[in-house]
Amino acid sequence: MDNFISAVSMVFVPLNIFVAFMGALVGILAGAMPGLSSIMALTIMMPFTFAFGGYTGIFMLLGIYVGAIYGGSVTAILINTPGTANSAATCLDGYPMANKLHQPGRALAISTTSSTIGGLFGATVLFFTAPLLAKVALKFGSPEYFALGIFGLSIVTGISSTTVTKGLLGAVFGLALATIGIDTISGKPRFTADSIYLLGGISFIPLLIGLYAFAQGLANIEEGTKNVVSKEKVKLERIFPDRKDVKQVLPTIFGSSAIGTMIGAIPGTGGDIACWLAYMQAKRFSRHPEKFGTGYPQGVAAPEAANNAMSGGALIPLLTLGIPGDAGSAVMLGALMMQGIIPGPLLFKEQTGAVYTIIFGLIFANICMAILGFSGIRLFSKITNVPNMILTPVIFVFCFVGTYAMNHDVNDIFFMIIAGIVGFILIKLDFSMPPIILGLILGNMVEKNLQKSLVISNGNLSIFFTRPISSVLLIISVVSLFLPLVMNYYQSRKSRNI
Amino acid sequence: MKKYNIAVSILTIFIGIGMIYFTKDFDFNGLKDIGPGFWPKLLGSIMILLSGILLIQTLIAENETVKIDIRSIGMKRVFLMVLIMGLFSFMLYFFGMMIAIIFLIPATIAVLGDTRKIRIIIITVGISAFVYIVFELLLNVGLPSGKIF
Repeated sequence: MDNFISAVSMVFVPLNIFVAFMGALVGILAGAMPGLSSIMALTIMMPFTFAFGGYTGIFMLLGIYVGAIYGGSVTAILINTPGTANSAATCLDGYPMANKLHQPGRALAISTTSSTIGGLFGATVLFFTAPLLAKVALKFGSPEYFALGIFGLSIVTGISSTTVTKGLLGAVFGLALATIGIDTISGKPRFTADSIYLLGGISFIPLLIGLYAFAQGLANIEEGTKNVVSKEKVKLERIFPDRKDVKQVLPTIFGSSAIGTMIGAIPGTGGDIACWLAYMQAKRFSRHPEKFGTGYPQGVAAPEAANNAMSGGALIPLLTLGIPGDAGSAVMLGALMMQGIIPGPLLFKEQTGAVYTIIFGLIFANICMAILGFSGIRLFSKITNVPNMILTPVIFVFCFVGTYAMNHDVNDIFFMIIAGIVGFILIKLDFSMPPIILGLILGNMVEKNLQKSLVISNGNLSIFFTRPISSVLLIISVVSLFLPLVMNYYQSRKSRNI
Repeated sequence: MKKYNIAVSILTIFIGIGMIYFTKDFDFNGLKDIGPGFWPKLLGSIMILLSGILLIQTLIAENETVKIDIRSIGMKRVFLMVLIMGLFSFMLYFFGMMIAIIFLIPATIAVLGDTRKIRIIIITVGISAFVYIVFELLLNVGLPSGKIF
């Protein structure tokens, strides 16, 4: 009870209120700009949050996390260009409602309402299920953690890449990066090339900033001024949704929120999958599926509720198992560890206050997002007019300053630039980033638990298959790896037979 | 031509071979004591296998799945930007962050095609001032100084 009260009171500290609002504002602006993404905003701003002590930095990050997911809907609705991948499905009905039905305010109002309810739904599920899952996770031993790491990698490689082979290669590449540095058990340096910088291993944050933000900056350079949109004069006829709309979309919001939370809880998946799945399900179960795509309110509500609910879902595996649910929570993992908060089942036992503070911080961040969303819609609609030639230098500068802020080491900046160039090349070659990042994050955990398991079993590999949780996770991993291949094979056979 | 996927496959095969080679002298006392070399060797082997699969898939595929035009204007801008980043790194090392940023911002805007001097000056001064005030003065993050300045 003390932890509960302490966590709630943390939310009402004036500095925490201020940074949560600032974080949500930064997140919404970053999410609204097509050249930026939620991950970029998180990775660039994360080092700066360390300037604040205690949980204040975490509050700011939660604000950015939640705000950016919502922010993408602004440009999706107004100019048919999702600000982030999470809002891609919102274009389908949001833009027609704004453009063909001339109701941009109504679309934004439904989007803001759905995002708020979805976000609060996800946070509530997190509050009730995380402690229960943590109790189960306490039964995890080394074989289970090894199997869990393999499971997380298998899911993300199957979903995130254009081909499973490239997804797996990306994951193995990430695992390989995690081996660089001094092996913690034997003390032997591996792949350091006699470099003092690499002795400590690959720096996670500069790599993340390079792969996501800097690489995107180079992509903006390649696009040039192609993506400059002529200044849209948007007239918003309304800010708040009317009662009829709310009544109409409420069942869709709750259904989509459940989908978003579940998708978020699966390691490696994210809002981009949640929004499409929710949209398709809403259409399937709708009484008027033919109206989807014409500016139908449910078509706006479903993806927006799902992508914000995902934020709470993604924190479930993060806090209970130490495995991020999506790339955004991967950044949160880094931030929490830097603040001395070690996610995992023991977090609930030893740092209960931290858990409740994060959960209430997420709830408060969603409230900040809602307040800013409803009050700032007119301002955010102007953000679409920021030209590339201002946006791109700002991205680069923030990358450098953010990278340096971590360890005050100039070598981190040089490393980040190299990572960014490599990231750009990988994007051009159709590799996606989530498998690489997850491989890097999980690499140490997978290797160490493999070693420990083999020591316990005296070198007998059957330890992974004789323990029920471990064997189930490994079986699911194999299925999730091969299922896309099998489905592709049957689909191509079917299309050939037609 | 499927040159890009073939090049990636060959490169990753070499990376896999490298991982196995550079860990060949590490201790291995059976599965009960795998040592520091087992995991990199395993990853290297998996990488070689996957690269081989990618190579075969590429060779039997009908079309090139990766289309990059390195001679396009966009890619030339990227190459130029990479060169500018090299110069930026040099300036950062010797002259510090603020001077390097004052070089980088107009260079980036010029690469994007805008050569209006007044506009460039305003944007450069604006961003540089923002960075200095917010990060150096307000947040106390600290910006790197160079060897000379």
